[in-house]
Amino acid sequence: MITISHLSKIYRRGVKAIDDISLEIGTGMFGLVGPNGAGKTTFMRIIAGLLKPTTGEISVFGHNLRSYAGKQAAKAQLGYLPQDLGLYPNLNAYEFLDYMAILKGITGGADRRRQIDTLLEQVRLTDAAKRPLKTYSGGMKRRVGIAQALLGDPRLIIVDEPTAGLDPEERIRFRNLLADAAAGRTIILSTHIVEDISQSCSDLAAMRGGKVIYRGSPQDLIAQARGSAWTITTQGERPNGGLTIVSTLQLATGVQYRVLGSPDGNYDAAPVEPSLEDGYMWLMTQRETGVPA
Amino acid sequence: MALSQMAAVVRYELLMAWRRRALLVMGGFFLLALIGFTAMQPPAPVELAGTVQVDTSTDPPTIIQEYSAVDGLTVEELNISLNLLPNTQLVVTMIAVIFPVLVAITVVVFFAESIPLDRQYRVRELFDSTPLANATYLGGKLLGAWAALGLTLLVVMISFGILARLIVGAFDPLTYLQAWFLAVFPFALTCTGWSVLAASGAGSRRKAIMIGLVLVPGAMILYALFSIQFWAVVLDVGSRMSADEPLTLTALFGEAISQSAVMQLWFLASVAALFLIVWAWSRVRG
Repeated sequence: MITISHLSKIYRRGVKAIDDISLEIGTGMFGLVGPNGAGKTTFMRIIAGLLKPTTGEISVFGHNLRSYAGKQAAKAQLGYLPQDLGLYPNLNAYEFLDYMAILKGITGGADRRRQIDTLLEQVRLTDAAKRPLKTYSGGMKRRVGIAQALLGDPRLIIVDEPTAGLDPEERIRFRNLLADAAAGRTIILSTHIVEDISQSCSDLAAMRGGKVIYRGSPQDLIAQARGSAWTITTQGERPNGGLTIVSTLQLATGVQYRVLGSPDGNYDAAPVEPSLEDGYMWLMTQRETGVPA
Repeated sequence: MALSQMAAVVRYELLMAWRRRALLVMGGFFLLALIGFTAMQPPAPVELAGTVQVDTSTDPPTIIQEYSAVDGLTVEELNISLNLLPNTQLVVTMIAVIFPVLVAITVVVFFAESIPLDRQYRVRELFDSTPLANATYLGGKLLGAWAALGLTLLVVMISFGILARLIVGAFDPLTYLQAWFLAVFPFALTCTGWSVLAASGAGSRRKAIMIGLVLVPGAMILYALFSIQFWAVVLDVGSRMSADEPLTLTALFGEAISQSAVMQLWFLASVAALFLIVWAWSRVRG
């Protein structure tokens, strides 16, 4: 269990990245969504013990991150995949995982080899394991990243924008890999690709301006947009009147817009069942206009 | 666990330095420079610590001038091997006096990137997410750089020893080894330690190299202190030569090298102090 209480982070020039967040995160996949600059990465880095909060308390499996010993104990149970993953270009995947495994405290040679072999198999890199990492594609590097995060069987896994830059096939495989790993663990998945959350998380929080503006299940977020999602087909002119356009589809008969809001009688609007993306957009729109979610 | 982690940092630092061809480039440069300087020495009369002047161009070498300090003593009484002594003086001058200038200029720039490179490769954040203590990481990086440098110097020492034997002829191997282990190694380790630690806070490789360049004058001051002491001791020993205290290789260079080594222990202590400062600073910031 991760308990976060009145967490704030103010950077040197007075930028408030996190503003009084209190949360409890249990076992399973926890999604964190929000626009760029919402404070997701800062929030994740604080939970990973990489950044000191300005105020507030965090407890990771009973270890208080305010103390050095608590932080080290929490890190011993952490798997972390940063947004901006870096690897040593001159090492191969096996060597890099071996290095990370030792740093994570897996000092037994046989155990280390077994774990590395298993993970390389899981991320389908066994054949490329001896190739220098500088020859890997973006997707392969991400897979090395997730393999290192899973080393040592951590109880908490934090992954920041893990599917950015991956092709659809890689993204689905990656999502499944995380979902498989979620059993008995806490996985915090930060993303601005809402689809990733809808497919794998049962619990989520939406952030904006350093605050948590929504906490609950994806279904409840979808329910908030129910009755507000429509499709409007026009001959090309964009619908206006306070509507939020979620997507645009070119058809033979015109252009179909998927919109959120309350269309007036000027449009031939058809109600549709909202998706999580609609729910997210609805939430953000309501916040922009000052309507409480 | 900390020892295993430190050993891993050292091992992989060495492996990556080897794969970047960094050690090969540095070792090659050292060796070529040493051979070049040695080969350029003209077969001119060699002055031995202000004691005698020897013409090494003749076969066998001959004493062409004896100074007042050794008036009345024969060559046999001086216990000088006219073949061994000039050659040994030449290689010791190369190793203990000229070579450290190259080391001072090279290693402070070369090893400055050890820690910033982790930031540039963006692996530092991954490391920070593991239970790797700052002191272990910093110690591992420092030992890794020292190991890389130590191995390079060992190869240069052996290679130059063989080549110098072919170029200048026989010299005293014990004095040669003393010059390496008591003069060159501690000096090079000190310069490397300063460089790794002083540049540890740099955000990029470029900034680290800039810090390394800033350290060059400091390393040169260190070298000047060391060099002045070395020659002062050699000349002092040479001026005390008498029938009761004959000139030997050990007397001439041994004392100078030993005294320089003592001085360099203080230099190494400065690395330990810098380590503590950098570690404390990283704890405060972390």
